[in-house]
This record gives sequence, C-alpha cells and structure tokens, in this order.
Amino acid sequence: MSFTESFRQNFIEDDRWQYLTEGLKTTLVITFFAVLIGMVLGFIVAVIRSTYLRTKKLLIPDLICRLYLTVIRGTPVVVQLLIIYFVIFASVPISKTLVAVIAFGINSGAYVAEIVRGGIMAVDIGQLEAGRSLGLNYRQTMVSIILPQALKTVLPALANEAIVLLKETSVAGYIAIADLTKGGDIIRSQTFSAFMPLIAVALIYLTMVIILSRLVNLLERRLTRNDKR
Amino acid sequence: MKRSFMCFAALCMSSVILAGCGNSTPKNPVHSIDDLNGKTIGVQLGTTGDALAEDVENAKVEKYNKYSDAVQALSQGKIDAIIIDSDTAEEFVKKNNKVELLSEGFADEEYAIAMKLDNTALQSEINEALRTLNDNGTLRQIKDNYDSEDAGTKAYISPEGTDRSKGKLVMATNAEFPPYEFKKGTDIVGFDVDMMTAVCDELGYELQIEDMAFDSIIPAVQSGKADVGVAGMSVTPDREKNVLFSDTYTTTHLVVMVRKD
Amino acid sequence: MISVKDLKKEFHGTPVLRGITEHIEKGEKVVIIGPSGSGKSTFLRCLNLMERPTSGEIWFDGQELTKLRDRDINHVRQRMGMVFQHFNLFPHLTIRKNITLAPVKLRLMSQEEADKKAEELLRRVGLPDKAEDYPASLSGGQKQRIAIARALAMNPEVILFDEPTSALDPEMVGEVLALMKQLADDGMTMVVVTHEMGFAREVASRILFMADGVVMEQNTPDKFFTQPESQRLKDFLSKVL
Repeated sequence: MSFTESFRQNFIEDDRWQYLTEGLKTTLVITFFAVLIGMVLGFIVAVIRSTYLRTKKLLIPDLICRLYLTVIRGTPVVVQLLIIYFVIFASVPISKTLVAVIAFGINSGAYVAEIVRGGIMAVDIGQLEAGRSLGLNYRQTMVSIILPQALKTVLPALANEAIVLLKETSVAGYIAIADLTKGGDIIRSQTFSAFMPLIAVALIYLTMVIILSRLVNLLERRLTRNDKR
Repeated sequence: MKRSFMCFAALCMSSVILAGCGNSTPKNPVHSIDDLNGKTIGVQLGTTGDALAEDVENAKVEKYNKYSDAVQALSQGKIDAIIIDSDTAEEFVKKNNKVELLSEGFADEEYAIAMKLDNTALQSEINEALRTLNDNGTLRQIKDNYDSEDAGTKAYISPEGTDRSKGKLVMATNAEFPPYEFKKGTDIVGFDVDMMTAVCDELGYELQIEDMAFDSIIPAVQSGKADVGVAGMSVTPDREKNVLFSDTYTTTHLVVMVRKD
Repeated sequence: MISVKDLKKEFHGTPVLRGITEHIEKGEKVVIIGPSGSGKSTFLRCLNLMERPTSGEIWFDGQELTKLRDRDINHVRQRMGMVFQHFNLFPHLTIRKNITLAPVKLRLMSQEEADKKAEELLRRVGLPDKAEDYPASLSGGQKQRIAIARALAMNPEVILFDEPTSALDPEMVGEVLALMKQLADDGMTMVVVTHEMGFAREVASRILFMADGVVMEQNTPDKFFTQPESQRLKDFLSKVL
C-alpha cells in the first residue's frame, strides 16, 4: 500500500481524522482542568507543609498532606484513575471526563505541592521575619511577600509539570475515554495499520509539547529580566 | 509501620464511604436489540462487537481495553449494555451475578487463525493440522474441556517426545477473553491456547504466546512480530484485507449483555 | 517602656540567654555590644518575639508579651520597628511598595496616604528619586536606608536594629550611621546591636556589654570606654578599639 493510500485509509476514509481531533479536544480539556485543580490543591498543600516545617503549627493538616503526597506519589496514575472510576465513583453516575479531570488533578496536585513547597522554602527566612516584624500576620506575609516570590521561582517548573501532565493523560483510555491516544488506537483497530495512527498521535503530542515549551521559555526569559537580587 | 497501616485504613475507609454514597444503580433500559438505539454500549476496542456497536443508531460507544472492564462498568451502571461474543459472555455471566444476556443474538461469526497475508505456506500447514485434529477428535476434546458438563477434566496434554524441530511459532493473543484465552495464575490458558498447542504438536513447532491488546494483534501479525494471531478472532471482510485466515475452527455469535433487573 | 525580667532562651537545650533583667525608657538609645555568640542578637529578637523566650517576662507598654495571643503580638510589632543585618527588603516590590505594603495591608493608611508618607520618608533618608526602582538596583547602604524608611512608615515607638551595618561595604557604613544618628536626634527610642564603637560612643545614652548570655556590664558611653570594670570588657575593648 502506498503512503498516500495508507494516509487516505487511516485519516480520510470514514472521516477517521475526527477520532484525532475529537481526541485532542478531550485531551486538552482534561489537561486544562486537571492543571487547574492540581495548582489549587498543590498550593494549599505546599502552604500547609511549609507552615508546619517553619512554625511547627498545623500538625494534623500536615499529617494529612503527607499521607496524600505519599499515597499519590507512591502509586501509578493509571491505578489512581481506575480506583477513582471503579471504586470511589463505583455506582455514581458521573461523566468519565470529570473522573479523569479529578484523577489527574489530584495526581498533579501532589507534584505541584512539592515544587511549590521547594519554592516557598527557597525564599529567605528573612523575608518572613521582615513581614512579621512589620506586624503582618503569617497569612498576610505568606500571601503578599512569600508566595509571589516563590511563584516566580517555580513558575517554569510548574509549566513543565503541566507539560508532563498533558502526556500523562494518555492513559485516560483505560476507562474508555476517547482521548488523543485512544483516538489513534481506534483508528488502528479499524485499519489494522500501526504506523500512520501512532505516528500521527506522536506528532500531535510533540507539536503541543514544543509549543508549550516555547511559551515556558518565553515566560522564563521575561521573569529573569531585571531580576538580579 | 504503624503509620502506614493507619494510612491504608484511612484510604479504605474513605473509599468505602465514597463508594457507598451513591448506591442507586440505574435500572436496565435494554430488553431487546432494538432498545440499543441511543444507549451507551460498552465494547472491547477493535472487536467485532466494537464494529457492530458503531453501526447502532445514536448509540454512544465506549471502547474499553478489556471486556472485563466493560462488564464492571455495566454492573456499576456506567453503561447500558455490552455487545460481546457469546461464549465469552457466558463466562462473565457465570462470575458476575449482576449481569445477564438477552436471548436475542446477532448473526453467526466464524473464528479463525490470522497470518501474514503472503504466508500461504503456513496457512496450508495449519489448515492441514486443523483437519487432522478435527478428524481424530482432539478439537472436540479440547472444546469439551472448556464448555461441556465435565469441563476442566480433560485438559489437552502434549504427547511425550513431540517433535519441535521447526522452532518457535509465535502466537499473538489477548488473554482477556475467556474461555478462548485468559490468565490462570501467571499462565495463559484457554481453548485457543490448547488448540494451538495441538496444532504445533502436529506440525513440529514450539508454541510461544505473546499477550497484547486485542487491537494490536493484527498489526503484530502484519509486521511479523507474531506468526499467527489467535484470539477468538472473527473473520470479517475488513480483516481479510489485512491478514490471511485459516479455516474456521469454531462458530459463535455476538450477544447483548445487560444488567439484571 | 520595655521591661525584661529574668529572660532565658535555649536553642535545642543550649542556653543562649541565661537570665537578663533590663529596663529601657522611652527616648533611650541603648547600644548592645559584645563578642559574637554572646546572645545580643537573640536578646534583641526576643524583644518583639521574633524569638520565643524559653522563660522570663517581657513587658511592653504595660502588656506582658509572652502571654499575648498571636493577634495581639502582631499589634505590638506594629509599634516596634525592626531593621535587619541583611536588610530583608522585598525584592519583588518597588521601593514605594516596600514602604507602603504594611501600613496599607494593615489598614492603617489608604494607599494615597501611604504613598505620601513614603515620599516624605524617602526624602528623609535621602533617596527621593528611588520610589519606583526595585531593591536589586540599590547599593547596600541605600537598601539599609530604605529598610529604615520601611520601619518608620509604621510610625513605631521604638526601633530595634540588628547589626544594621555588618553586611555593608565599609564605604557605605557612614551613610547608614548618619541616618541612625539623625533618628536618635529626633528622639526615637532605639535599641541597637552593633560593632560600631564610634556610633556607640557618640549616640548611645547607655551601652550594654553582653557576654555568655548575660549583661555583664553597662554604663554611659564615656565611662563605658574609659572606666571598664570587668576583665572581659577590658579584653574586648582592647581588641576592638
């Protein structure tokens, strides 16, 4: 079979390209909302963890956070996805995309938390002292002094986490979500050719990652401009 | 140690609580093949059930990697029905008392062994062997061992001193498809496995099994990663364009699995 | 104004302050000197509870600080400025924001009022044109002057200086000390931990000599340097003068 013929069969016939475009849409939706959940969760956990580490307050929340980090970072995301789909939401009618968003969000939150905690701990303790010495309380100091500085240093790492997450969502097919990877699988199951759909899927992921990495680079350059301490 | 136990306990507790909070599995909405229109149908990706479900009007098709996941989703009320091969369906029904089969089924399908399109030499060898095994009753015996009254009592065993001079024959399969191929402990067993063992014994090959996703079997055969694809695979015109099939070794049909009311 | 009774502080079982009783009057300029490791910075940092004392009492304006709730301690800290060795300016904020952040966040002033105040303070510390610059663009001496302006923005009743010139290049020490002297002349109550003996002699109303976690000796500046009593102080002075 010639290249063009194979291309026609895999993408044009029966509008099979739609499996890829629809899949890409699903992948992007899952990634976007999972990143949002991950960031919110990660920030909360990071603040609790670093508060405990610096002030020895919030012991119980810290224990819960540590449990969360241990469990989530100690188990594969596919397993978490399946547990959330088949165990936690066993007989709850819930959209699978939402399940995936929750699963990947919770998963990403653990990694975001460690990144942000690193950023918070990297901010000089003198900044905390300066804020407190002016009479600001811990929360005010955290919000207006520590976090903006931490965020600036960890932003590139956070963006990379989002890129990693984009690729990790490729296991969503395990709960029969037709994401990009699954879209390729569906084409493969219909045309029985491995090359075209797999290469196409790979190229789409690669393109997205390259675009996102470019954006991260731009961001990084803007952040480091005029920022010598 | 103590802490990790506590963690585990907390995790179990929370899952149980969450799992328990929506214990209202929806009623079965499918009572005939016509009812499938507009419903959510679960299938295993790349099976004939998948192809058939795609043709059901307005139906939403959820393509699982394994039929067992689809059955789980069906019993939890996440999907409305499954289109699945009858023999496999019966195996699932035996193990899961929340699902049952509609008496109404689809047209007959024929299972055969898939090979590379140009490998007519292997095709005639295998057809020859299948004929011999059919004539001497071995196939019947293997089949009985999986689905008759006295199932499991007459397992196929290779005769002693079997010739293996022709080397390895790699069989691609998807061990999620009882009784044809499934995992028993770490072994992959089933009707297809026993049949292929007998075929290899007949021909002088040593059988090597490669387990993979169902939709990867035909590409594996095409690319030469496997010599044969044996996975309860029905002969369809689409597949015949991509692989060469042996003679039919068994006949089954697709059925509809639904939740019990 | 500030009274300390039998103040003790341990770090992981190691005593750093071994019982300090001291009283600081309004308008006093107390300079604390002593060898490194003598506990002088810890003592200073206990005064606004940057460090929690292990035992003892700290009274400020009739309140016992060690018994206050966190929220009330924040109120006390608003009235006690602090200037750090390493300036601790907020690098992500402009100079103006550095100065106005706390009064605005704590709703003591509107942003406009605070901006006006910042302008006035910048003029006072001699850096009127730096308002929109970031700390990174300032020299060490300028940074410390901004840090003092930041502390002044809260209208504190006392300012604690923790080795304010120790991290500066020698040529910049003068400008910071000059500003501090100016504050002293304006009547600000000051507690200063420093190694600048000239400043101590010129500005202090009283000098404390700390060693081994206690105030070993104290006196007015002229007597402190000319008639040291303990051998420790004599040794110390012979090394630093």
